[in-house]
Amino acid sequence: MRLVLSEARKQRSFRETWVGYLLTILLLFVLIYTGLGELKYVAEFGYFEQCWFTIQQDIRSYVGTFTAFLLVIGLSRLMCYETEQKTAGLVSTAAHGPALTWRAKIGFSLIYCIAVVTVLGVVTLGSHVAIIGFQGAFAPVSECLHFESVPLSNLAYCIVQYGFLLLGALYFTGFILIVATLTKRTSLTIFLCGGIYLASLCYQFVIEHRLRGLTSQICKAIFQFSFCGFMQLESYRWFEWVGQWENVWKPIVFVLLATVLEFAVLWLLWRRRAKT
Amino acid sequence: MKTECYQYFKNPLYWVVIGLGLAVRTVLAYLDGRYRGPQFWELAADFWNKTGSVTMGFLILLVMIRRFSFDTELRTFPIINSTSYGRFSLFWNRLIGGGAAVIAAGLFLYAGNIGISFLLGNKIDMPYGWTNSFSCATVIALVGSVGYFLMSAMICDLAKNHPIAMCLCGLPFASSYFINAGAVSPPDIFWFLRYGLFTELVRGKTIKSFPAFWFVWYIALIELTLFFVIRKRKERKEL
Repeated sequence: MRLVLSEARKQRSFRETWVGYLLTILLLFVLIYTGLGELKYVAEFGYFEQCWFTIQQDIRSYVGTFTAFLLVIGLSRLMCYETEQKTAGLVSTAAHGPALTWRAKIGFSLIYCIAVVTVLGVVTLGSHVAIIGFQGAFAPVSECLHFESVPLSNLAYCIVQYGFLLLGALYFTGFILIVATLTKRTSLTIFLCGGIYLASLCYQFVIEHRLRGLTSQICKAIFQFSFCGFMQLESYRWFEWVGQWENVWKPIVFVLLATVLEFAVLWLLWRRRAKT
Repeated sequence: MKTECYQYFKNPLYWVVIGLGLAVRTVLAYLDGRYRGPQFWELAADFWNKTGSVTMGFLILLVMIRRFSFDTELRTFPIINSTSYGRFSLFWNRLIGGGAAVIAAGLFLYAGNIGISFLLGNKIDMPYGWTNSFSCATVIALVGSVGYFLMSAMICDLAKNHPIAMCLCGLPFASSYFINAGAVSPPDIFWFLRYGLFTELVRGKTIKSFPAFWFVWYIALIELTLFFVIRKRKERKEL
């Protein structure tokens, strides 16, 4: 735990992370503030189902992207730090140095990922609930973008969505750490991971409807299995236009396996790097 | 200045980003030719709106501005700073060399898009005046790209940290792609995000909403950043 804390202290010294936090707070405030007016207006007329349907879209609209941004900014330097500061050799000379460092970095990354999703979830959901209250919160979900029917209440489904986001975020975390270990350069890692995420978003919102035939199927499959698909909650439909709630275990099992596989690959890369 | 310019061209990432941009354009042009034949040339002229501007953004933020924090990252800055031409003249040369490299990249993309469009759309009739309208969009995109590069480079020089500059300049640049121009009105913050950071110009479009204000704003933005750079450099004894 002490090593995890020292990783946290190290991360606290990264200036870009603080810039990232400030930008996120600013943009999140603006987005929540502009969305609240509309929500308040709908709630005044008593259309609470419509309100909860809007709240369901938070992750797809901006929370998913902010999570990705904070992960990329916060974790990219973590794996490159020793190489950039030229202390990697020193770590290797200590008994179990690489293994302990790896464990500390992974431990910190997981805690950071959970913290990011929790804070963003609490802030967005909390601010919306503060406006419309708990009216309609415990009523069953009447309309859902990703599933045909959901056997949960509105509030429970929103919380479950953040659970889905967390799984996608863990998947993305593994990817960032792998890229950082391979490139050993912070800015290149930020650019590659951020660029891939943005390219996936462009595909989702701009290119998807332009593609036809086999190309469309291939791109759709890649997007479905990508971390962006899971963070935007699109992949939980599991290749269907409207997903079945009974089949939701399939993407969950996939994303868990993929994350475990990523961390296994990361360990192999880290060990190999420590040996050379 | 020639050496600095040469350093930009020597970076393999410079060519990788341009190559990737043109590869994406080739795939999109192929798909447009196959499925959206009647709109092929219209979409080709729209190159700067999406593929071209994104490539330019990637190029500026990933490759070009890194030179302004490179010495600090490599810890060679104190040595360079101690030389007679290693202070403001080096910074100035880097800005001019970078500007020239941005213009060269823009011309490569311009030529690449024309080549790809002629190659893949040779069976579709080209509308009259297409080359002129695309050339006009390219000139606007080049002006925007140079402005965006100057501002990002100076921010990178101020922070002496590449990721911070990427964050500060990249986030507003990227977010403006997701803001619908029809849904924003002048005093809105999203209106400011959409037009405030050269993105509209990099996308090869003139700003229809309050153009005089934005003209003054862009000049003020560059001058203000330069003022802060000079002040910071004086503080650090780097001038």
